[in-house]
Amino acid sequence: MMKESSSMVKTYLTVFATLALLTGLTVGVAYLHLERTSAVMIAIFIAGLKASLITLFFMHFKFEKGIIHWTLYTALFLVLVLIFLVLPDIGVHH
Amino acid sequence: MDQGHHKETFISKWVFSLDHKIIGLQYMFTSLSFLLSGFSLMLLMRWQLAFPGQPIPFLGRFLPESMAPGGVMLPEFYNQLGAMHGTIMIFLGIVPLGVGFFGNYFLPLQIGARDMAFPRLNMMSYWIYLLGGLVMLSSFMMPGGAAQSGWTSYAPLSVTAPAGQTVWILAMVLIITSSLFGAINFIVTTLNLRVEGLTWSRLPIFVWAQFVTAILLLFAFPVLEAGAVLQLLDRIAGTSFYLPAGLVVDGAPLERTGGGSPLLWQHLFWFLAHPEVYVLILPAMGIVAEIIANGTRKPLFGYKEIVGAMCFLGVMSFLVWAHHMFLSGMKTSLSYFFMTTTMIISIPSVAILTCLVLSLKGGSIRFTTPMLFAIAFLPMFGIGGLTGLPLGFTPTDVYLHDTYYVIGHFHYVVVTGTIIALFGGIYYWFPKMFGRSMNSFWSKVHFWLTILLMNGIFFPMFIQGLAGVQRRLYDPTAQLHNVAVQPTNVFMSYCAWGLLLAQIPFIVNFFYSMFKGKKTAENPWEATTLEWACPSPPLPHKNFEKTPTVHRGPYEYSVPGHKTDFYPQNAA
Repeated sequence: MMKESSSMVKTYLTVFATLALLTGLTVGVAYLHLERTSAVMIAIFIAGLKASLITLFFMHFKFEKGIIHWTLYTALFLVLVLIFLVLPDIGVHH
Repeated sequence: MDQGHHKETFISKWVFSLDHKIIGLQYMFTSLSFLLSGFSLMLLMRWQLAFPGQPIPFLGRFLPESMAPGGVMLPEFYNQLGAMHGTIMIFLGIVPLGVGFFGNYFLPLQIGARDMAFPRLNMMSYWIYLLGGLVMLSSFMMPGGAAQSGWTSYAPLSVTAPAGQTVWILAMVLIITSSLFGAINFIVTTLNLRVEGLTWSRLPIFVWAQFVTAILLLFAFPVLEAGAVLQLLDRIAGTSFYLPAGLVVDGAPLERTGGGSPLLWQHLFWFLAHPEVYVLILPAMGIVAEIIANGTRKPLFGYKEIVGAMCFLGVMSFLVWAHHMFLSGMKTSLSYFFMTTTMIISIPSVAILTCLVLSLKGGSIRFTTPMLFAIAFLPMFGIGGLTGLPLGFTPTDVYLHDTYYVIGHFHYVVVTGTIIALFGGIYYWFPKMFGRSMNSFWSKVHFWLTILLMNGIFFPMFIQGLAGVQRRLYDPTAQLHNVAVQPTNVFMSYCAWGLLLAQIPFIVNFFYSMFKGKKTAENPWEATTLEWACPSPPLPHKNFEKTPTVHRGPYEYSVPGHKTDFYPQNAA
C-alpha cells in the first residue's frame, strides 16, 4: 500500500513537472512571433495536452472505466458540436 | 447511511439535515418563496405596463428615489425588475422546485432507496443554492441596482452594465454549482440505489424524467458557468471575450482591446438555456404522468414511447439552441440546420403529450384536485408547444421574435404548463409528506381561479405579439402601433394581481393542512408506485420499515382478476 502510494506521488510530481514545462513552452512559443493562425493552433495543442494530463492523472480518468469514460466522451462530443456550430456564425460576423 | 439511532438536535434535523426528505422540504419552502418574490417583481412591472408613468399606489411610497422617484418607476428599475423576474423564476424558483424538491423527496422513495447516494453533497447543494439566491436578491442593493440586461444577460450591454451584473454572475456561478451537485447525485442514485426487481422498464416515468433532467443539467450547465466566468473577466479583468473592437458606450469609445464576439455569449447562453427548457418541463411531464395513471385507474398509454421520447428529447435539446438567435444574422445554412432540428425536436414533445392524452381514453377518471391540474396541463402545454412552431421557422420568427408573442409562448410552456403540473404534484404528494390531506374545496377554488387568471395574463400576449408589440418596452404607449392593444395590458395586469390573490387559498390551505388537515392513510390515492409503500410521512433516514422488492411495472391499474383496481409494485 505504502509502495503504491509513493509510486503515485512520483507520478503526480512527474505530471506536475510536465505541466510546468508545457506552460513554459507556451510562453516560449509566444516569443517566436509566429503567424497568428499557427500561434493559436500551437497554443491550443499545448493547452489540450495539458488538459489531457490533468484529466488522466489528477482527475483519475486513467483509473476509471465504464460510465465515467462515457460521460467524458459525451461531453467532448458536445464540445465539438458547440465549436463546429458556433464557428461558422462567429466567423461570418468577423 | 443510517442515522436513525442517533439523537438528533434541532440543527442537525431541520437545518443541516442529511435526510433527503428534509432537504427536499427545504428546497420546497425556499423555491416557493423565490417564486413568490419573482412573481411580485412582475406585479410591479404590470403596473407600469398598464398605467405607464403613473405613481405606483401605496407601494410606490416605500420605493427609494433611485428606483421610483415620487412612486413613478424609472426605466432602469423596470429593466432590473424584468431581468430579475426571469432569473428568479427560472433558476431560483421552478428548477429548484421541480428538481430540488420533487426529485430529492420522491426519486429515492420511488426507487425504494433509503436516501440519495451522497447525502452530504445533497445538503451542500441546497445551501449553495440558498446562498446563490440570497446573493442574487442582494444585487438590488448594489449601486445602480440589480442586473438590468435581461435574464439572458446579452453582451456587450451586460459587460458595461452597473455592478449589479457582477453580483448576478457570482450568484449564477453558485446556483449552477449547486445544480451540478444535485445532477450528479440524481444520476448516481438512480443508477445504483434501485431496489431489487426495479429494472429500467419498471421505473416510474417520474424517475425517468428526473434522470434525463439530471443528465441535461450535467452537460449543459458547465457551458454557461464557463461563459459566465468569461463575462466576469470581461467586467472586472479588462478582457474582451464578448466585446467587439470600436465599441462606443454613452457616446464615448470604450477603451478596450476588443476583438471579442457578443454572439459568443449568446451561443454559450443558449447552449445551456435551451436544454434548460426541458429541465423545466420534463419533471412536470413526469409528475403529470404519475397523476394521470393514478387518476384514470389504467396503465399509461405508451410507457416505452414516453421513455424513448424523453431520452430523444434530451439528446436533441443540445442541437437546437441557435433558434433563439435567428435574428443575429447567422449563415443561412446554419439557420436551416437549426430550423430542421427544431422541427425534429417537436416530434418527441408531441409524442409524449399524445401518449398522456390517450391515457385518458377509457379511464374511469377520478376528478381529484391533482387530476384537475394534470388534465389542465395537457391543453395548456399543447398551446405553449404549438405556438413555438412559428418561432422555429425563420420566416415567421423574423416577425415574431422580440415581440410579446415569444413571452406568451414561453409562459404557456413554463407557467400554465410546468407550474400547473408542479401544483398538481404538491397536491398529489402532500399526504405522503405530512400524513394529512389538503382541503378539497379550497384546492379546487385555487385550481379554477389560477387556471383562468393565468390564461387571462398570457393569452392576450399572443394578440399583442401579432400586433407587433415589442417585449421589454418600459412604456408600451410610446409607440403608436401599440396603442390599439393597450387595453389588453390593463386587462392582463388585473388578471396578474388577481392571480396573487388566487394563491391565498393555496397558501392558507397548505399551512393549515400541514398541522390540522385530515389525517390520511399510507396510500390515500390507491397508487401503485413505491413511495406509497412507506409510512406517511416516511421514516426519518430510512423511509421504509422494510426494504421493498419490486415485482411488476409501475402502473398496474385495473389488472383483470386482481381484487382491487391497483396492484402495487411491491405486492407479492
